[in-house]
Amino acid sequence: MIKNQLLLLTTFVVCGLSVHAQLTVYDDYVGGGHSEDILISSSSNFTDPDWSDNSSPSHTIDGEGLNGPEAEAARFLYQAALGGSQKDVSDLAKTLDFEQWIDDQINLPPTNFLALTRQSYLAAKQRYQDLNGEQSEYLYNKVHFQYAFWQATIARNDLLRQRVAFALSEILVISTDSDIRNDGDGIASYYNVLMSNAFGNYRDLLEEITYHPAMGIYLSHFRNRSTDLENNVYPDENFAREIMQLFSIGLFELYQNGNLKSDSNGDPIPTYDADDIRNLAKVMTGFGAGALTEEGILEGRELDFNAGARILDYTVPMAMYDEFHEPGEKIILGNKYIPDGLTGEEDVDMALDYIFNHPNTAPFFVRRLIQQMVKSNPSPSYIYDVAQVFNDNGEGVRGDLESVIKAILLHEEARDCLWKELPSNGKLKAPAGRFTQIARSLVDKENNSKFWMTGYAFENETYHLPLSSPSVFNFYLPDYQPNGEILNNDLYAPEFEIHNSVTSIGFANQANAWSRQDRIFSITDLNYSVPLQRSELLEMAQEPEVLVNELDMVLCFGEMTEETRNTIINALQTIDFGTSILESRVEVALYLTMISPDFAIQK
Amino acid sequence: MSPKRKSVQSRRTFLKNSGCAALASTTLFSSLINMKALASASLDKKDEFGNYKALVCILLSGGADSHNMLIPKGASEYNEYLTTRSNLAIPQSQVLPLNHAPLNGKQFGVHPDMPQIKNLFDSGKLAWISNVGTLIEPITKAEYLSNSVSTPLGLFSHSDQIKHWQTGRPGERSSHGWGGRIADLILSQNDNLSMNVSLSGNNFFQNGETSSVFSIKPTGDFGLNGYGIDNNYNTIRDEAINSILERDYADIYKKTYTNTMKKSLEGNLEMEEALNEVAPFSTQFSDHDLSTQLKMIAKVIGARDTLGFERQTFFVNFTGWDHHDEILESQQEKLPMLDAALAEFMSALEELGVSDDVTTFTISDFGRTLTSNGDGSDHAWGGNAMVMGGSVNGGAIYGDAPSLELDSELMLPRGVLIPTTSSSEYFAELAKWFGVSQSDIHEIFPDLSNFYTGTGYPVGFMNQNP
Repeated sequence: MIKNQLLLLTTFVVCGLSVHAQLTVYDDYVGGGHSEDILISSSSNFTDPDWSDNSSPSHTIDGEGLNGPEAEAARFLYQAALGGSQKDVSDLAKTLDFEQWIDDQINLPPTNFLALTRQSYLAAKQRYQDLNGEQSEYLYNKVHFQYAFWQATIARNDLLRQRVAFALSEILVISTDSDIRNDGDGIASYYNVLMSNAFGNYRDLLEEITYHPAMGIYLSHFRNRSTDLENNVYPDENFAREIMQLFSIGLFELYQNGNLKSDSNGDPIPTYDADDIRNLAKVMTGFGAGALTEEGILEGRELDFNAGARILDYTVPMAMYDEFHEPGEKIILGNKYIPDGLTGEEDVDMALDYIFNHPNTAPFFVRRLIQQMVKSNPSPSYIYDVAQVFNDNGEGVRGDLESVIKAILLHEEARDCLWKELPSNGKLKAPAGRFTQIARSLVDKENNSKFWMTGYAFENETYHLPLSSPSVFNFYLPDYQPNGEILNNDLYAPEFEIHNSVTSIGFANQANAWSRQDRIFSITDLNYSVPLQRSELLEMAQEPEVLVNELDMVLCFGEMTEETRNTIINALQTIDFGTSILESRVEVALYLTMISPDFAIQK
Repeated sequence: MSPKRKSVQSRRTFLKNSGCAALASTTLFSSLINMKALASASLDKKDEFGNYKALVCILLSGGADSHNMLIPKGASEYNEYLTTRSNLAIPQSQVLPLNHAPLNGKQFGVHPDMPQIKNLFDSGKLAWISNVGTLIEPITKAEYLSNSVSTPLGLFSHSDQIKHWQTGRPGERSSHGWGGRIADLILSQNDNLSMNVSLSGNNFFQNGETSSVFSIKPTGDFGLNGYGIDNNYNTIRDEAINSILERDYADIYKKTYTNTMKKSLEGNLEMEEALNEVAPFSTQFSDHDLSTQLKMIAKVIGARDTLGFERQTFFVNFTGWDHHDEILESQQEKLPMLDAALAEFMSALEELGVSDDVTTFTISDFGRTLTSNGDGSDHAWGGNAMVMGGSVNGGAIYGDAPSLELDSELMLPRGVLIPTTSSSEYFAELAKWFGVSQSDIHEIFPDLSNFYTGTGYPVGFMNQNP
């Protein structure tokens, strides 16, 4: 800082300067913090022949740093929520109290996805019938969950809980691409379980998904029977295998920092074998319908073990029918003993306890959650720190998700801006995440109340869509390594598994539709579309740099590189012909930002 | 000296890089033109093989219950099947008989929903490989039960087995598939496109160490919308796109993101142009995914000369075979699709005159348990696979057909069959036909010599004298 040098800058008073302000002369520089409520912006090197004052670049406020808090808030909000609205960002920027923000979020009432899905169906049906006649048929199906999902994304404010539930849906996977009955209830009810347990306990979460009918259908333990030697029928092993392999322990023994343990030959150590699966499969028998659908009741059907999938009420937990549960002792995970003589529920309880308490569960789960929210390659100490919190939240409780989420988001490795500078830090934003950020910050919320999307086009173009995974292994694997530098550096980058010659172009084409066709949500059958909020952007388009700065802050957390900025600004400046200059500039700026790596990569 | 007030807007014109700074990129399409020039130069190096061959890999993911696809028809073998499969067994009268020389003295047929596959088989265009599965080395039941011989990693686990069928290395957890390794050897020089084309995105089979996969959509729309169209500000936008994509990024995620996009853009343009030159097929393709995907593959094969490839691999993932539940109904839904798609594909290849040059083969995570779990079957091991093409010695079933009795020599508890032909042998034969040398074969399939040490074709389903 150079003191005692009077720097005369060309200053522009932007916000109110109170008339009665004292005229004190300071001898450091404008913007030195002596006056409140004055926003100073300036340029450097300005000389105007008519003016007697000139400026020099020392202490020129060039725009960097002024928006530091906003950038930091935006970055946090992407990690915690896949982005906030511009108001969310500026509110948070005022305090940067991330822990408070988390606490406030935790106290918000959770969105009820089952109710919202059913409401969305009724509202859409009304709309459809208004267009096609009162009697036209419009059936309840899985798209109505998709409508609810995006409705909640834009219009509901429990952002953190939604983010966690979505992350959980990519770990404890179920999918509409399955035999789950094609109405919205099954998926929506399951999603409610993820929502209600997002800040709860992992042990409860495991139990609730075990008993959920949608999971019972998805991994086929619904109506799973005990062994019948006479007929060569054995318990279905599907759920037993996947609850260990994907939902808790994983294939190999881990240290608490996530690293693989190895045996004396240097090979990884399996956590379970085929016998364990067979035994756990015996535990997972006897699940049947907890309630029938209206149709089933009207048909006069019995609520018993034989009630099949067609009349299964997906919104009521499955019941345990002991007559069909495999009796006898079971030994799982090598030496974990479940004695003879217990009820089915007691068997399941003990098994889930063993699985939950396995030392692998903490590093296995937290690594995946960190990969979902913050970065693809958490350091061993980051994983270790968060795993410790999973193991004991400080009050003797294991599996406390609220504490785990705080540990993930408030950890130095997530918050410290120095990490951004590492070329290997960060991750590719998954397509639905990129879309969420775009929609939240740019959709016209003032003139619209519904925010629906079927997702068909989005899924075809990006290979990603909430709750639509092609298999229980999710859209991308935690250990995926694209060829090239990422693989060569022994790093992981899951989201790149669906970034290929279809989807890299496909997402850009979606961005093209959003920017050019001025619609971010649209459904042809319902004659429905929601545009972007453009009026502010159009005004800014008169000055390309202003527009680009705005999109930089809104979409790139102020991280847009100099080269990208220049490319876009130059392109905009060249658009100075034709009848719709401002509209064209906004379209091009939006498109180029949305396809740029500065937006796609989360640092 | 009061500071002059200026509006916000005009202030912004005082940029650090004021004025219309020169665009960083070169003129429109110049980079694309350069890439094309490179590509056409590489076409001159055509004389590598002197002929064209393609491998088409159809993954039936989930573990297809192939014991209900190739089914015993003769009396005593059918009775074994019926007893073991109990409520999963297809009635004998419904099994469509295949016309073939007996295998281990047994006669077989196919599932009633596979009539066109039966026709392809009987006319010599399709063969079955019986009881094939992943193996590191031969193993007996006693050895398995006493854990004295190594078995494939993660036996019975989807994620491991589906990998092994694509890598051909069941003793490793490799991510590089044998299709990719072959492509690495061939070093195909088209810069924009890969000789590996996938209709199902990234996959292990085509994942080489240096070679890449070119994914396409079956629907035939390619490329960036609006790119290359000369109107309005499109050209300005295109220049900016080129500029962003051509930049060198230090950040490895940005670099990976952009490289993929750049190659995809250029590859898409080239592919689209080439496909436009392929005449429409007179073969009618059904309306479902697998048929649409195979139709696109046939089209790409039709464009092989324009694209400049002598060797190509194709991959398509036909999902949803993990039938723990409702297997009879599920197969009734899916088998007709598979049946139609294979027949339509063969027909289109015949139209193109390349049916001898294209070999289609099926893989799946595993065969399923012979025994029932109520209304489905569970993960098992040995299963049956199909190979189709003009160079296939069709109309025959290869390998061995062991007893399906529960206590039999190769039957593990729960109705799991130990394979009698290894996936190494199956793949090695396809690779040999494709033109991979003897030494490279053993490199790619390190376990092969545990089963076959000759220099010919390990199994015999491919025609060695084309």
